[in-house]
Amino acid sequence: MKVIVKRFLVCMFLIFVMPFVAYAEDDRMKELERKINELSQELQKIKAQEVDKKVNVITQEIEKLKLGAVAEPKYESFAGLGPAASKVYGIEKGISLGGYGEISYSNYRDSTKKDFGDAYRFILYAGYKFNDWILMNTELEFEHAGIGNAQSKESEVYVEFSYLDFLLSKPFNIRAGLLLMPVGFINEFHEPTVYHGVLRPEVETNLIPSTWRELGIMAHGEPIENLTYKIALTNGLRADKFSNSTWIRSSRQQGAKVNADVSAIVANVNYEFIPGLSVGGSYYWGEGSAGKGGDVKASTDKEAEVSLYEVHADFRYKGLELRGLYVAGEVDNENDAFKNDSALKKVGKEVDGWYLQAAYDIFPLIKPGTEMSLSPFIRYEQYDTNKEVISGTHDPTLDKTVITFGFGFKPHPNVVIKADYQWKDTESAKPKGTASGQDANKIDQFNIGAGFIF
Amino acid sequence: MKKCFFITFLLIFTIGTGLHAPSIVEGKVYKTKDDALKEVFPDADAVEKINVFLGKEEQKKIEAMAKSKLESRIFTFYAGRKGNTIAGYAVFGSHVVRTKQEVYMVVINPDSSIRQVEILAFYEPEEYLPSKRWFQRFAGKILDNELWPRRGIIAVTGATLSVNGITQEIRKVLAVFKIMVIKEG
Repeated sequence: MKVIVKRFLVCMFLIFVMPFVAYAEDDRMKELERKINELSQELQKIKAQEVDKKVNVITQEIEKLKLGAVAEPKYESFAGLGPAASKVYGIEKGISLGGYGEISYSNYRDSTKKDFGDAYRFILYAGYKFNDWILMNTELEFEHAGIGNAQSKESEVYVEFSYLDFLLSKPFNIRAGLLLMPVGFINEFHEPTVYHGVLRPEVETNLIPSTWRELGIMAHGEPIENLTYKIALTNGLRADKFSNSTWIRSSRQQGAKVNADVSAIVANVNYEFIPGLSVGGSYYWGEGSAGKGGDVKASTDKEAEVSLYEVHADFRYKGLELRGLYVAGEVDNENDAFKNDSALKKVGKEVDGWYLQAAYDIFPLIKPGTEMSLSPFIRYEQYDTNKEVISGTHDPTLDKTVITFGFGFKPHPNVVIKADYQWKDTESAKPKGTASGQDANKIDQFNIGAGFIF
Repeated sequence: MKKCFFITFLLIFTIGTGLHAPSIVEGKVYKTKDDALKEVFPDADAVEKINVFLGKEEQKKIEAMAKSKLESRIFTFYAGRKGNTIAGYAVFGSHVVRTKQEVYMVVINPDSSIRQVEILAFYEPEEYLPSKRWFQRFAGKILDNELWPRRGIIAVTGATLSVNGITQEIRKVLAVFKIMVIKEG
């Protein structure tokens, strides 16, 4: 009987208590599940944060690579310089290379004159930054395809400019060395992609003798927003090299065994009224003497003074470019040796010239939204290198008019293909031609060329 | 006469150098990213970072829109937030002018027009850098066929490489912004 009661009680226990036990077990399971879910979410969150953190680090590192010092939050000052300036000491030093080149072909519209082809210029530009405020800038120029001289083809290798620039502050900096004279447009900006026409404007070749460079020291800067100035003291000119057709062009000393007995001063001012419209001018005064540096002085040395001034304006709006320049010059205070020289007395005592140029980029009208350009242009030039002579009579063949019409096509902003036609005329009554009694300055020409900068 | 010139010049240079040498603070790094952000979002409660990673398809779409090749597929935009509104977005980048870099910041309005373009560092000689006024002319411009040199953007003699380069960079970041940040188009 006792056994039956015991078994009954066990059964009853199992029937009534086990469900409670099972229920409690279920609760625990649920609790466990909830905890596992929570942990898993927590883990996901931590993982996501880890990934985010890693992504942030990577993007910051990439940003540093792209922006350099700009991405650095704090600078340390160095050697008394401002923090931003001194940061550059650690980076961005070294050499900078560039250059440009141009090749041309000219077909003269006269059967007696041979056509002309030339690998005119190849220029290597090298700059070296010693620190953030001292840099060296040099242009090494190969002209007429090489080192001369095979068969008198007058090849040239020249250092076109080479100077040290001390960048002190925005209004005042110093440049010293072989300097580009700050006169006109072309002398300082003469890359083939910058000017229109296969050949540079004649006014900026024969009156302003581009590329005109001399040894000297220059102050330059921007004292007022959009107003820039340059003022330089340089060596003077070789008075024995003046000519009636190209005036002072051959008298440039170009940094080669310079006669530093003669000096010159040149000043230039440019003001940008609104973006796209700038107006400027320059004045040059210089002494001229004969012979190169180191030669023995002689009483027969030809001597003269040269003054020159020019004013210019440049306007750009969308595809339109307008440009104008006027220049006038004078040779003065000549000594007897100069005045009595049979060639030098024909030199222009007074010269002047001007040009106007208009160009328009029509490529966006054909295909908008591209870096290519196609710019037809027209330039009208009038100049006289013999307006008034030292003695004798004015040569009307040197009173020239040149009309240039053509185009420049740029498949890339730094590559240009050019073609143009030049109508040439003078004030002389002579017919055009190369023979005696004829005027070679009246011969028209067709030019094609290619140029690049890099 | 000549001696006078030399003496005058030497005086100008000596005095000029003396006056200006202590103020050599205009290095080639004009401003840091952090300082630039503080300046463009002075009242922002927060400046939020938006990292943008481009897939191949998105890259193609952006290149077609900007009409330029992208050199990077990672961009970081900074959104200046004031309360619930976004005051604007800033993006930083760099490109090579000749052989050296210029580092720029483009500030974009929420309607994807340009608010401001600023050069933060310039490692080439500064004569290749267009004027501040030239950069101000970008304000209000949008990504269209006028955002090209010699159209809506004036070309600058002597700064051709910089003008072409920065205009191209601006087109790229505007296209990335439109497609990836405000998901337009």
